[in-house]
Amino acid sequence: MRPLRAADAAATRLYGWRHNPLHQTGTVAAALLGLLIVTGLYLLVFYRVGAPWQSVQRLQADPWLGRWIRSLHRFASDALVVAVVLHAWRLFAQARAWGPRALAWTSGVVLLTVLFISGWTGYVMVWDNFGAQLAVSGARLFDAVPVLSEPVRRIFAGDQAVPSVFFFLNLFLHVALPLAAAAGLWIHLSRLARPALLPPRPLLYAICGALTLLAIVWPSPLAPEAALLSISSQVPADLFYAFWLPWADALPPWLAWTGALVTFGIAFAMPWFTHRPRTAEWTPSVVDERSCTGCNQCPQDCPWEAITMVPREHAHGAQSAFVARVDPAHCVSCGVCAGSCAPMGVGPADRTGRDQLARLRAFIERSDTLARRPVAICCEHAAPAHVAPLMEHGAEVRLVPCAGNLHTSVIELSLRAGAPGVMVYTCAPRDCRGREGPKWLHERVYNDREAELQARVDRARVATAVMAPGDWAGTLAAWTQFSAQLAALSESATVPLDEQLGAICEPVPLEEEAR
Amino acid sequence: MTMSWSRRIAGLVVAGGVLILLRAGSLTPLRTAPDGTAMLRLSWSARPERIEQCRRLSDAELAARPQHMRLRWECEGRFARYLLRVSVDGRVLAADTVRGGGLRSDRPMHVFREYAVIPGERRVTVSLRRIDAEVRPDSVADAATAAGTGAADRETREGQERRVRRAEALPALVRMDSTLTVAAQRVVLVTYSSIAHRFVIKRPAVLAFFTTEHTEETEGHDKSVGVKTAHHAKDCVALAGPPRSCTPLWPSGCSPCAPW
Ligand code: HEM
Ligand code: SF4
Ligand code: SF4
Repeated sequence: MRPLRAADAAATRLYGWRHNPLHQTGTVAAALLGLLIVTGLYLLVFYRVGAPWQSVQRLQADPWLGRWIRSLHRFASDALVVAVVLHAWRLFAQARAWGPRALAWTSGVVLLTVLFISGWTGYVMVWDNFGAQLAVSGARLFDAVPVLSEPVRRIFAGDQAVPSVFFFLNLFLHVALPLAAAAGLWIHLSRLARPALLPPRPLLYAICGALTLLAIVWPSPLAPEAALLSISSQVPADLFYAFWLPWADALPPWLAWTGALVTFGIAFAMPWFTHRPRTAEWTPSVVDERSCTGCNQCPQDCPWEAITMVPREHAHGAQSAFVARVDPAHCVSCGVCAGSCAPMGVGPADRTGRDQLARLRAFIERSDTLARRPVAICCEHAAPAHVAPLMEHGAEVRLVPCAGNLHTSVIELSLRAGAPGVMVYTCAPRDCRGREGPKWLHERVYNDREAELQARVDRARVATAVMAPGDWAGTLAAWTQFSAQLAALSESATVPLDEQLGAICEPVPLEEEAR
Repeated sequence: MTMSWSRRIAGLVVAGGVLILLRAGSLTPLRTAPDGTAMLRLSWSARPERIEQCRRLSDAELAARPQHMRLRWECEGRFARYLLRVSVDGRVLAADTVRGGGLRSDRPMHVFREYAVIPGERRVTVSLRRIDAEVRPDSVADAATAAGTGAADRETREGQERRVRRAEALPALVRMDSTLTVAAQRVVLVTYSSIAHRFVIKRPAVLAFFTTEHTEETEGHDKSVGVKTAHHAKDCVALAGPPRSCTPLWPSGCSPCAPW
């Protein structure tokens, strides 16, 4: 986690949290997959299975389009591997690889494998000396598996030209596999509500532009045609796809296979290795059916589609016919539902709106600091390193697991308890472990989304800002501006907050819950 | 977060660095073989000889069989195993048994071997000798049909089929003894021609080696008449100047270094 945070901080310093590419490796990967399909379609028009290298040579000889599109296709496929590996590393480091996310993880591992195989076929298609090396090494591994009685390597012995059907098969796989990957992406994202598929426009254009620039200014050369009766002592290898080549050639095939299968097995089984007991912060959300009014808000807000509305079993009096139900197998315990429920009837144990209010009330009874200092409610994952300096700048800091968990009544109660103002710090929206925490918080505070911050609350005393590692200046600037705004308010306005707000903050009396 | 110019420039420099690393990773010179290596490659597919014990069925036995199983000659047997021996300058690189593919060894024999050799003039010997004893009572079956002892059409056809199969099969011995000049970074490919029943040396497109002496031997191929044939060709002497080589494809021996 620490290296990830350091890398995040460095990238935020350079590009700002809005365009930090490390926050959106998944969407960058999806965008690169799209770019590969587009450039690949162009190359496909010119590729000939009967004369593979010669057709690529003709493309390479065209300085206007062919050469740089070919290079762009190559560099984008390399960038794709980098993006996917970073994406997997990020999710692993953030403990987002198990439980309900297991399907996304395991399908991701399959997607990565498909990408590697597709890259393998792509390089073999060129039929330069690197492609031949990949083909021969692959055939050597394949021959170790007792499937075919005739060794595949005989195709590359050099006694006759490699048959076009071989290149046709390669071409078929090279086209079919990325299309399968695009379809596999559907499975990969099937558990997510509203998955983001593209990075923000500026980042998308910057990445595509940078790769295009590289392809134009410094295109990839074409290596000499494969000569099967010659031995190349050196080939220009693409390490993103052929990192395994030195091992595969140096190790006995069974050991190379064992290594590959064990690596795949470990990666695939990661959700089971990293599984946590579903207690404490990992308890799934539950619905208190007595409080649920059947408003259908939490199913809309849940970023993992874990909540459905079901007919209520025993409806009493004015109770709604439908009630929310959480499927624990889909719930990742993000707590976003806790902030969505006006009557505070849903959320993971100890994190419902009611729990949040009870904790705040206990604090208010214990201490009067809230009445003296503005409150900064911070997402605990956003930038832990900013918390202490923020306190030094006069903030009364309170942590929440995710800004999307925060029930707006907590903001209201804090103000009622005398806090001059409440600032909510979220993580960078594209880096939210709850996926949509900052978005829903913003909607609830400013755009009347349930459970909205009541209209009676003075918005001038409330603010939201992003707190991202590597952007202490941004955190501080938001705080300074908010403090100045509060200072200006205290000079002009003297009207105390409505004394009766307390009653409205508590939709269901706590004593009733105890009963 | 507003960006200062220094940050923007640093961002561009880092992005440029990442692109350079990406390109470097995409085109890394990878060592695949040490300099000055050469290789002897054996690659072929051939049908091993079938060694079978045949018995002529009587008319009564034939009539007792279902219609689709009425073969005059009932044969049982297996496919022969061969001893593959490879040596370079007298040093034996391989001497092992090879057999037909498939679980019952009834498929063609596929050979693919590679041996690193030191470039220079090398004497390469490759031989494939049948291990299983030459019991061939089935020749009686062929002889019977060949003699046209009044057998039915089917019997004649059966005999022909057997003869064709045998003609395609590996002979009892195929041997090649060749002194070659092997160039660095080149492969000498020895393959087997199932038409000519002999080993064939393939040359790379560029000068890889030239043959200074070449002897080959095929034994027991024409089994129906039991003739032992041997080819000795010592007529390919490499000349200075443009690269020359000979590709012995026809049983008559290699034509004297035809320019290529
Ligand atoms: C072609 C390759 C891949 C693409 C294009 C891709 C893309 C994406 C996208 C767009 C998301 C959704 C982001 C969001 O809206 O929150 C996502 C989620 C996810 N990906 Fe990938 N991914 C790929 C490969 C992988 C790999 C190799 C792994 C892991 C081994 C992986 C693990 C995950 C997980 C666990 C999630 C769910 C995150 C969550 O629920 O919090 N992905 N992926
Ligand atoms: S905690 Fe709530 S919002 Fe989050 S996944 Fe579970 S049910 Fe959905
Ligand atoms: S938000 Fe609350 S009241 Fe509305 S459906 Fe969900 S649990 Fe029920």
